[in-house]
Amino acid sequence: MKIIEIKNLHKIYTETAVPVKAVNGIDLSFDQGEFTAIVGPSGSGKTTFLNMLGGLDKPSEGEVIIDGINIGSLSSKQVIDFRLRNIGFVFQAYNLIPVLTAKENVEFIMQLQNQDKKEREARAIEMLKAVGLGERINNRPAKLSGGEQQRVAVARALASKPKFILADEPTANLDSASTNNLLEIMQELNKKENITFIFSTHDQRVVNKARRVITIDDGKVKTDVKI
Amino acid sequence: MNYFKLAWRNIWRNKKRTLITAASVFFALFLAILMVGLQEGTYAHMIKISVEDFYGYAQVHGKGFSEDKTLTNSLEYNQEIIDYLNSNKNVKQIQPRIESFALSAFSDKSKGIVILGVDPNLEFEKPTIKKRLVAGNFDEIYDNGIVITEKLAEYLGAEIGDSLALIGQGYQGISAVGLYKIVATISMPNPMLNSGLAYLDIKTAQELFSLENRLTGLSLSFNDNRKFKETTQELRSNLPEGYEIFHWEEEMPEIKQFVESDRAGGQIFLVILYIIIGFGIFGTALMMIAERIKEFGIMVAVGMQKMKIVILVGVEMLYITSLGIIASIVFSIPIMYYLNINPITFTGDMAKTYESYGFEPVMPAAFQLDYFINQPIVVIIITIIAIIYPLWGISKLDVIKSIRK
Repeated sequence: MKIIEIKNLHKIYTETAVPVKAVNGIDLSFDQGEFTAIVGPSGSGKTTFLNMLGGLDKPSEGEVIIDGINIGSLSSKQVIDFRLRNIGFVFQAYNLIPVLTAKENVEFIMQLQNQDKKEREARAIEMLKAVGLGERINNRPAKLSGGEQQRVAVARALASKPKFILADEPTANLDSASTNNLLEIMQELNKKENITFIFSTHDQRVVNKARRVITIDDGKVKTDVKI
Repeated sequence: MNYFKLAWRNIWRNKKRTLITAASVFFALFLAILMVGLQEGTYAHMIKISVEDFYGYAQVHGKGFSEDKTLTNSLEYNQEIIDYLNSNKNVKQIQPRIESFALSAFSDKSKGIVILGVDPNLEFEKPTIKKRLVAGNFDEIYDNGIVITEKLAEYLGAEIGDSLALIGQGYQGISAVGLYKIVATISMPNPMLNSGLAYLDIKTAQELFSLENRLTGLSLSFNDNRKFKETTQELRSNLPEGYEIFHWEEEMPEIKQFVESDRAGGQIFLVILYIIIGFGIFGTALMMIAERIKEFGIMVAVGMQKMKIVILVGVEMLYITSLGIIASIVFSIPIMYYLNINPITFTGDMAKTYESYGFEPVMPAAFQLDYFINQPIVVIIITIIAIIYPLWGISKLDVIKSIRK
């Protein structure tokens, strides 16, 4: 079942002296439950593509249709609310809220969704256990290693049951052990919860685990391989 | 985790900055409360001395007395005017007054003084007057006695039991002469009055000045003294023919003018103080937002509306301000209470300066709840104004740029 359709997507930055075509006519679609890696050299347009896919940036041309909704037609407030209810984010630098414990960080998005306190507490604990941090739920980010923080970020992204998760180079700051551990956890959650994962990455270890690899260069899809 | 809890935790991410900002609010607000309290306390004291203890909140005179304060313009004391004044529910007490001048003489010294004819039962029962008794006994005034101020007694070299001669001019130019036994000495807070004032029983004063059933004024006090203007206006509207009524601000505009000009000076200082607080809060808000711009970008990216972040940071700033406010209130309450009970007493040149203006050289602090409420409200309003621009910046936040920082 298709959950994302991308039609003739363009992004041109006009603030520079010479306009830059960061994304130059991408047509793609993603099915529910995919585990996809988007690869390409630096400056190829991966992050810009991902930003438009997540509604963080507006396309210059084209459409991003998620579950039948063209997110380009939504107001900025509606897009934020759409992200809250449909998209999970995992960032390269973890980006947890430093004053909240691991459990509170995972609960945060569910709280924004106005979920019942007991339900969100139970779900937060469940997700932290799923990423192997059941014993560290009351630790703040400063007391966690980089790998642990990224696992909390994954738990946070998954806890609100989004339609898909966008992960921008999630393993870039992690060592090998943490990377393998995180990828295993994400694979398992992908299978168990049937949540779509879309990564942008340079990391071959991530590419090796992906079931679909899309290569972007010069803002265009060069290859789209399903494994 | 609600926003209030999150905001509380956030302000402690940079303890030093939070404490420095809260301390600046604390010092400025404490200074403001202290300054306003001392100013208003001093004004209230001045007004109390001049109004409650001397003039009254309003006075009824014979027509023309306020323009020409001579005994010729004295009023006739009759039941009609008393009934009329009593018909107003806010009128608490009516005190007959004779106010005139005479030359006092004892032994080889003499001095021109103010003579105040009063009802001793009403006048000397006032707690503030009662406590100013230096020597003697007020009760003996009925027996041709006179109460004089201690400085006058000192100047004349007279003591309790001595006889004081008064020479002046009575009603319609009749000569006023009398010899009175000094029964008590009193200390007046107003230095000018303290150097030349004498009290006589109203009947004795009427005899001295040949006023028979006449008075120079009826001094009024009210149940709610704050409504002195309204009550005076009500009484003025149907006042019987031949009388006039003025409240203390009309009769003593110099006090009102002094208070207003001094208060204006204080307000300029307060404005400067508040501008400094405002800029301090503004700077803190800007820094707090600038260093967390990436975090806010992430929050928006994961689905938090910008307005919620605005509210969160607004609550954080109000927390910091509130810390300073609470500390200043807690600190200033006992100090203001102490200064209210134990006024600052000036000595030396400062005391002379006060006395030269006719004021008692003391500075009591007003201890009123509203000073501990109004000033903090002003600080909260300043905080809200100071954070408008920084918070507006959050509402215009560019998520992509913020995340890249």
